[in-house]
Amino acid sequence: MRQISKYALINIISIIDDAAWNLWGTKERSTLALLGILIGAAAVVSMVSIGSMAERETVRQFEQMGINSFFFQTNVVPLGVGPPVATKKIKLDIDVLLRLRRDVPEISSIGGFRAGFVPVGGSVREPQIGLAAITPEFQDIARLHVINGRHILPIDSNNLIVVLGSKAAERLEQAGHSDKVGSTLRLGSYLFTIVGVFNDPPPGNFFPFDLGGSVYIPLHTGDRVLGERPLDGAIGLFYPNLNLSEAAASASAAITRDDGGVPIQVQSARDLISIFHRQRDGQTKMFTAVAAIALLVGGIGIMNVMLMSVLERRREIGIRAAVGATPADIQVGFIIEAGLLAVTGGGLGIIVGALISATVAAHSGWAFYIPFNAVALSSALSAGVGLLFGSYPAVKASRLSPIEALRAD
Amino acid sequence: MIELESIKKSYRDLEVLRSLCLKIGEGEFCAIQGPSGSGKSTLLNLIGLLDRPTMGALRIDGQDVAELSAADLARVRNLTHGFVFQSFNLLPRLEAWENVALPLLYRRIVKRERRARAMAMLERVGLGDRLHHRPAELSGGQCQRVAIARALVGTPKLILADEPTGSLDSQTAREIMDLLEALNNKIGITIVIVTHDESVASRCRRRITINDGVIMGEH
Repeated sequence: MRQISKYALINIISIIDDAAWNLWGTKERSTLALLGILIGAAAVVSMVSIGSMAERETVRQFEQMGINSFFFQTNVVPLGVGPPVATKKIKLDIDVLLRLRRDVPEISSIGGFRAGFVPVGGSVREPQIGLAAITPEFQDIARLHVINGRHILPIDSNNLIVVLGSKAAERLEQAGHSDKVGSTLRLGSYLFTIVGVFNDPPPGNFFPFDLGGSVYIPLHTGDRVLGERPLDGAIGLFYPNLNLSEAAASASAAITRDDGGVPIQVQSARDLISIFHRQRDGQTKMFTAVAAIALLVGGIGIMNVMLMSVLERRREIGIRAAVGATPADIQVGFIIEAGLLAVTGGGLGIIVGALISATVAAHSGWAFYIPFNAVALSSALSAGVGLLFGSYPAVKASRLSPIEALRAD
Repeated sequence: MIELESIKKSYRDLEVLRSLCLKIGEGEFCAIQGPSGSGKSTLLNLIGLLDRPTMGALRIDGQDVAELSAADLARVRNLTHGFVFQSFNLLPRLEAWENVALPLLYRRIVKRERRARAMAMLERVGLGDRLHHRPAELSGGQCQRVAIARALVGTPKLILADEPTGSLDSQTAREIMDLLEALNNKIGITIVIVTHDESVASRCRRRITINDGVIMGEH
């Protein structure tokens, strides 16, 4: 048994060696046959890789925002079919937040906001700027940190102080206003003191307003500037390592309990990520199918080249048969040639695909990443295509009668 | 060694061999002569197991080849036959030693040994200094020596030569015949040569003349 397998191994090595030299002998044609498979494999690798990189980038952005964060807004019509159910708007105010904080043990912190626009400098002709009235907790949860001055404190409750978003500070300065801590800024009809400037906010968030481009004032000060009205939304953090959909459900229940059962949608970052995953999955499958078709076309190229090769090498086949090559030897020889073409093309294709996605990654500022399954998939597909399309020419070669083959010129 | 019994071979409607009977014993040095189209090459192809008879029995070492599959025939060719063709039939891409080693590839022999045996055989046919030349870089006589080395490398019992000197000048042809004669004398290999060259046939101990698909005579 060991003898047999040893001979089989020697045979395979010799035949691969022989096949490789045959291909090397027809470099130009081999290169052409490679090209189709190369393009197909490169397409598979780059498609899958670029898809994964985009996905990872989005997930990274969500994660920066905090994987345990959640968000809800008033006036949210629940998802689903049928006529809208919500007729009565939920009155989301600071009391609801306090109640949530008290009654939902999964919540570690929660902050609310109202957002709007105000004219800068007091005149209605002045350009408007985004303004958010927030509770102090909002700042930490949204990962806004001051780079100058201080942030909004609980004792600021009703004070005329403002903290500038990073982009808002730039814009104010360009418009000729002072953005320095300590100077004053007129927003609507009130004169505010600038107490701090925030850093650039992390990319990707739930908010219906531009975090960097807004200025921030204490929630109750906002009653004066924006008028008294309920909160526009709330953002919070669950304790880590919880079942987030359960936590979101109990938060929803707590909000809607006293408000006629109008459901509200609490979205966690992880929900968004999983929705995104599902979308990407579909896209990746579609792109991969397209790329696989490219590989298939490459396979047809290999078949063409191998058929040409069989036709041209009839005399060689005859010589090999005369000196003792069995039909199986001839068949295996040609299949291995096709396989080598496919595998080499596939290997080069993986490298080219990796280069393409590295270029895309460099241009978009993504982290370069080649998933293992992209490499595995395109290797398997290339080898499969080689075997599939190599077998017909190989069988054709092995069925040649030695004497006819020898007579060919 | 070789027995042909009422062998017929036809291609479509054309009957090339007609009820041909022939026995060739071990160690014979035998010429098959005849005008072109007489069927002598067809006969050689049948003996060489490159083709099958339409009717009749062909036995090699007592084995009826009709019972053998295409793969079995290839194995018999590999182990007992050596071929020398008029047009040499070397693979142009391969170096001399690689051409010689080709039959050993199909015997599952490792490359190191294939190479050693091929090189030794090339030394024996006087081409020890041409191991790495390709056929295009060799003269006709040298190519035919490479082909003979390839025929001999598997230590066959039988060498079949189809017009082995047909592409060579008379001096080189004589050298090739010397080589074949020496092989027959020293090792006792059975040699069957198809030729229409009288000077080649005259050196064979047995001469079979065939015409129109039947044996006309022998001496």
